[in-house]
Amino acid sequence: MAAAGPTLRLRPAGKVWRAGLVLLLTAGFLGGTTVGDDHWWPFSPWRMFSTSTSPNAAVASTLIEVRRADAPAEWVPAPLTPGTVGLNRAEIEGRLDLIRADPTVLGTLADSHKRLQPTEPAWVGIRVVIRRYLLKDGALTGEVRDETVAQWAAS
Amino acid sequence: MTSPAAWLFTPAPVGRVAILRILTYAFVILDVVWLHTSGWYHGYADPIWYQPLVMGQWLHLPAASVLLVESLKWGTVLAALIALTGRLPRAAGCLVAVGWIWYQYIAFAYGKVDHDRGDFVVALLLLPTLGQAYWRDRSLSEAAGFVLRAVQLAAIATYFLSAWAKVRFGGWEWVNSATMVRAVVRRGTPWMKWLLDVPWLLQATQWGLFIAEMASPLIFFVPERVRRWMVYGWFAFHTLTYASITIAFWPHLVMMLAFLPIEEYADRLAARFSRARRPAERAA
Repeated sequence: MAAAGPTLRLRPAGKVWRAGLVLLLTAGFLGGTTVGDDHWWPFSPWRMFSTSTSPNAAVASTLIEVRRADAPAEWVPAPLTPGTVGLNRAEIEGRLDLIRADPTVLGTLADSHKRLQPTEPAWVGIRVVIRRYLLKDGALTGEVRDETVAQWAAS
Repeated sequence: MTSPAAWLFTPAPVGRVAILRILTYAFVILDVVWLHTSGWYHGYADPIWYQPLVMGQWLHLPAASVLLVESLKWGTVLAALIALTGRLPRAAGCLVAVGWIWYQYIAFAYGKVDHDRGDFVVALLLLPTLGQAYWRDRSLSEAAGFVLRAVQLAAIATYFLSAWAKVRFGGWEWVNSATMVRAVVRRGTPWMKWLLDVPWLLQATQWGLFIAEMASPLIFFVPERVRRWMVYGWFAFHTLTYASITIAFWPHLVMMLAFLPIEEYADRLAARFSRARRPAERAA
């Protein structure tokens, strides 16, 4: 083991730019937390699980159902994951406005699915469903409500 | 009373940062290849889903393509392997930082930003500032102490500023809201679903977590022994979180090691390894 010699000091200039860098990073993170949003990454606010969920409302979860080329009459649930469509659930949830306004964007998910899983039957229809689990006093009531947000069919 | 400047540059063993660097670059490889792969899949998503972040607007970063994500993935792995050998610590370290940050950017520019990676960015930017460092070097160095201190500050900011974000986005009622119920409904593990039958326990957990996060900066003002226990406490919290909702802030967990005397652990491991090897050598 290398013996501990005299303490290795930094030159004043080396301290100044390092301290300056820390101040810059601090300003970035404080700014992000107080006024920034996710678009500020890596200085975005650390907001994991920061939203409040009312104990008497509903917990929503988004899912997709698809019609497959081998059974086009039937809607079946499909995984909404990067491995199947290149995007994950939260990313789709963040773009529901776009999907509502222009359901044809769902067709790009079918394309990505074809590229990522070429041996699986192609998707000829996709619909996005929001499933709401109702809560009362912070506990599940057992009641579930589905809302179809948008639907796309291959032409 | 030490001045803030002296505190920021409190000398620390060079070997401690050398080991943190090894763990960090090893983690980069794990992360890029196995743990955080959503960026890679974005190479397959249509550019219509790309939503440039501020950083991408400034730097004119394009939407992902298969070629781009493959280049970033394997380029970062290669740079991390070179950095792991200890050669070219500054150049290889800077390449890892650029590659990894860009790869994360692609993961986050499609509508969902993860919030556990800010401190790791700080570490990747600052680790190269130490230059050559050997893991058995016990010399005390201000440059090494600075890197550790900055990483510690960023790691604790992750807790403290996330409490702040809860107040900002969730309001003070966050502690009494059903946030954890929501988390367990959406991604609870089968063996933790029973928590949904005891909502008061989840609510109490919210109070405990919020108080712990608000109080997290105290870690810089307590004796060394208490400090270590606080770090173990956070590790226990993250283990429970993983067991309940399979979310782990992996890069952040590596950063929390900046509080621990990891060079002593490495010495102990090395001693055990050489003890185990010696009888074998005699036999041979």
